[in-house]
Amino acid sequence: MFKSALLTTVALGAAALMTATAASAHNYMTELRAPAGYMTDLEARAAHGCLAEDIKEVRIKIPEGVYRVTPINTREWEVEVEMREVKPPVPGDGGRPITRTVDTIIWKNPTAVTPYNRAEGFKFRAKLPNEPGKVIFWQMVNICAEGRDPYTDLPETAFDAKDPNFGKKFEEFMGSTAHPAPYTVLYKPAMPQYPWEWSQDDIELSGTAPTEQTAEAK
Amino acid sequence: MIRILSTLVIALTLSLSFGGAAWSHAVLLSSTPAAEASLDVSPKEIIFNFNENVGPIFIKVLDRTGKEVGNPGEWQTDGNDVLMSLNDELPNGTYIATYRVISADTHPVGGSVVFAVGEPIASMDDVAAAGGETSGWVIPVVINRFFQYGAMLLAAGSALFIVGMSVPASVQPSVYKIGRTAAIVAAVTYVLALGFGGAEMMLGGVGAIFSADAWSQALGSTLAPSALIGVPGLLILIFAFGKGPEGKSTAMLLAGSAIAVASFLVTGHAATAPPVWLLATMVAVHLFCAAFWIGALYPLAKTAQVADVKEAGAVMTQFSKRAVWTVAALYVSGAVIAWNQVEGPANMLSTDYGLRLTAKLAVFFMLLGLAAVNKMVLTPALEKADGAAPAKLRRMIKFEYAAMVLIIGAAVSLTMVTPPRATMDMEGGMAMGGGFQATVVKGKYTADVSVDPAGTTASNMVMIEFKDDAGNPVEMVDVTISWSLPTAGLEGIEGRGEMVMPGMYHFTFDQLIIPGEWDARIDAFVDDFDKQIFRTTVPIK
Repeated sequence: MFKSALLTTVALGAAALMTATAASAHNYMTELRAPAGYMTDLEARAAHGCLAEDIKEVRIKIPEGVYRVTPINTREWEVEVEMREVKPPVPGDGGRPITRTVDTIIWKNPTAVTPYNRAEGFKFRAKLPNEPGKVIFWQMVNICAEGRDPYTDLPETAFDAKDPNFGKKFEEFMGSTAHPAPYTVLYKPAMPQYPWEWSQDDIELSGTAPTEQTAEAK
Repeated sequence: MIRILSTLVIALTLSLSFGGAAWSHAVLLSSTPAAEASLDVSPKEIIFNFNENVGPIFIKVLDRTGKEVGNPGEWQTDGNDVLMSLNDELPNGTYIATYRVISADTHPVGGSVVFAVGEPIASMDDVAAAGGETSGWVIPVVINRFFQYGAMLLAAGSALFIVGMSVPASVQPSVYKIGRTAAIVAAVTYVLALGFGGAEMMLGGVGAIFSADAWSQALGSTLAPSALIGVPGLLILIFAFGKGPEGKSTAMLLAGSAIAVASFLVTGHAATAPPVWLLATMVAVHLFCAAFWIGALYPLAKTAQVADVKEAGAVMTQFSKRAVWTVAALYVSGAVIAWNQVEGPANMLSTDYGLRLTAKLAVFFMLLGLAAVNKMVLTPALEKADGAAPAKLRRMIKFEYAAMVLIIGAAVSLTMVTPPRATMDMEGGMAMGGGFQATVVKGKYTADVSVDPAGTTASNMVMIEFKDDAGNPVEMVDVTISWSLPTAGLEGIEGRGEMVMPGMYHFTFDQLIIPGEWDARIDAFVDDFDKQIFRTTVPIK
């Protein structure tokens, strides 16, 4: 168990360090890693305008396994979603099955341009799959005034952060394309997301409950 | 404890990796000389200006042979510029300046610009005027094709005449002999067509026909399947004719002629034009009818010479009845093909293809006139045992032979030009005959790629037609081509396609000025996120 946790941590760290030093020339997620199974706020960034032109539209594809997607409102862009059927339905929270989900989020008609040498963020909230080690790729395309700048390339086989060669494979993939899709690596969270799911150990770890000694001292 | 350690390590890496900086990968903003500039004098330096500081891997200037000129290996950076001085003057000519640099994000990018010194860069108009390059091999190609068409039609026609007509016993041996000779000649011409055709495709010199490249080019073209079908069909005919009248095999004669005619359905503009099921059928009908008519001329003349008048009259009467339907089918099938290829009467006299077709039609109508005289005057005369009729018939058949030779010549000339149907009327009226054509398959999609003229002396127009596995055109969201020539270290020549009709995209490239095997990578987005990559190698001559 120790070895597994250590390997996972080192692999995640290696991936984070590599991609940090390589820097995000491409579209990227501000959350390079996120807790598996959490309902999470995410931000996709267009790292720069469309080469030397203005961005007039951004589209992001929500991958399989990511549900309960809600774009965060912005007054600077019009936001739309395209839906898809979920077949077969998957269990949702509260016992209700999920039969439809967001397939694509579209931001368009900005009130001001995104200059080519500036980044811009596009926020949304989503429930991530409870699969620690999984690498989620968020395919994005920046639509320019004339032309398109896609970041949609995916690896040929899915990555797993628990793979001992994960870091090497990831580095090779990032070096093989100028248009990789932004990604988020899922890690196993230290504790469940919501307080009503916590155990006593979780509460002590989070420091939310006073100890008996402290209470007597008061 | 383990969880605490893991969390601490995660926190540490989070802090180290926080906020990937938003660097852009380098973009070329301008160059000196500018892309496609025609300069009066040699430039003193080459400058590439980027949107950020870059680290050069190389800058090169190549002439049309791919040779590096200027100061190989000596370049400097100045802010966002990368430059190379040219100490020596460049001779008049067209050049390609190419770069590969490392962006601030460590990602390499490459690109090329073409410029000319002391001469204009070849334009689409130049290619439209020239109609593409040809070599001296075009003459053997044409001559061989003439004998190929004539011999194949004579061989198949002789077989059809033997099967469909009551040939007098005194005439049969010579008909078999003529048919066999024609089949042998035709088979040889199919093989020669590969060698001559390959040498012409390469624009090769005298020895090109002996080079492996020429035969490789030919085997990659539609000449190969045509030969693979035609030669076996002709071999069947050679065998069938060789058995003589005593060993007459109707099945072999019909099979051999059908297969030989089928060899014409896998090549050429007419038989492969959409809708293929209709045009291929019309071409097959047209060829069978033409073959029967051509194959009939010798036996009829021979019959008129050796048989008695009454027997000759009976044969002519039988032929006349069959000829009515043959001529009708020949005319209707020809009209359908012509209408499909020419796309309107206006093009009959205003296009090269149309003029040649008009000439062929004119001779055809003359031939109809001769045939009408045979049917309405000489055949009744033979039936009445008019002693002068056989000689007159033989004389008329000689005229028919001459007309057939002219018609076959016109048909061959039609194969040397592009019909209006296959011509895309772009800005410069460019003809897309396609110096290079290939079909690339990726999953359930196919890309029909055409590069015209696939030469170094002019702009190259590229047309790509995408289809799904049902043959329906597929409209792509975005299509780009990226060219590279590894042997010269050239890369990064990119272009975005313009849709001219659903599923069909047009590009123009001026930078392919160095001969060689260019790699073309075609990125086609089926939707916003689904990218299909097609790759092919295009020989640029």
